[in-house]
Amino acid sequence: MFNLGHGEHHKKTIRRHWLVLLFGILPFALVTYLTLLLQEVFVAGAIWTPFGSAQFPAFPEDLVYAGGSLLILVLWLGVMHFITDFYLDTWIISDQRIVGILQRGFFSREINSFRLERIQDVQTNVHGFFPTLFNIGDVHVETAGHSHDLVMRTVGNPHKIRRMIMEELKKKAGSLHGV
Amino acid sequence: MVYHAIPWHTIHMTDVAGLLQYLQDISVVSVLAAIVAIFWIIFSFSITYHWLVYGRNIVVSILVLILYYGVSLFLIGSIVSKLAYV
Repeated sequence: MFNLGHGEHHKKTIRRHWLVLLFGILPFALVTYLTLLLQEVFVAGAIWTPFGSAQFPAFPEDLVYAGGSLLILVLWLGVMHFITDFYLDTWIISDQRIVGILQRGFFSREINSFRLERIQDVQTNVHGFFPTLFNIGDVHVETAGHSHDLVMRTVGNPHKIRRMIMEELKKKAGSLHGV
Repeated sequence: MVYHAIPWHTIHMTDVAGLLQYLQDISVVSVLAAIVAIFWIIFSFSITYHWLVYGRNIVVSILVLILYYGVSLFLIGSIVSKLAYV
């Protein structure tokens, strides 16, 4: 759990687009379906196609089902790993800074905090057919002093996020000049 | 000839030959099951830790963990029940 500082106001929490989650899980679902299908083929010792059928010696039923379940368990762990990565990758925009929280696998977590007054430029990139269709892209926040910049990858509505950051920058600049 | 594995409690610490025989008798399935079990325990600890500590909504975290353990234990149950006959 990440807590903002005293007197700091939360503006928006950004996460990657839900389609990224869907397309990430899809291969696991497909392989699981194929595993279930192949289990039945190996147990029956026969495969039927529109062009005809083929017979081969059937495998022991228990061995096939145990192996299939083991493979599905491994796939399930993969799905959970992906969901955990997806859910815990977050960017928080407050009225004072942008915080990037990146989960890099298990036991590796990176938290970067970028103060608004250090931000130099904000760029957005939307590339490809599906990203354009669903308005998914990257927001690149360039900062002074940091060894690396902040990149919000595959977020929904990147142009809106850019506008929001720019508005916060303007407000921050206004308040500094007011002092 | 029916061959019986040496029961582990009959092996003495100094009985190297007995120990080697015992290790030789361990089936591939048992070793595989042990590796999978250790991996699953480490993975489960990690996933539980991350969702409970870093998750922003405790209700979502608990629901995800229930789903994770439910499916995992169901699959482990189906593996173990078939493993006895392999």
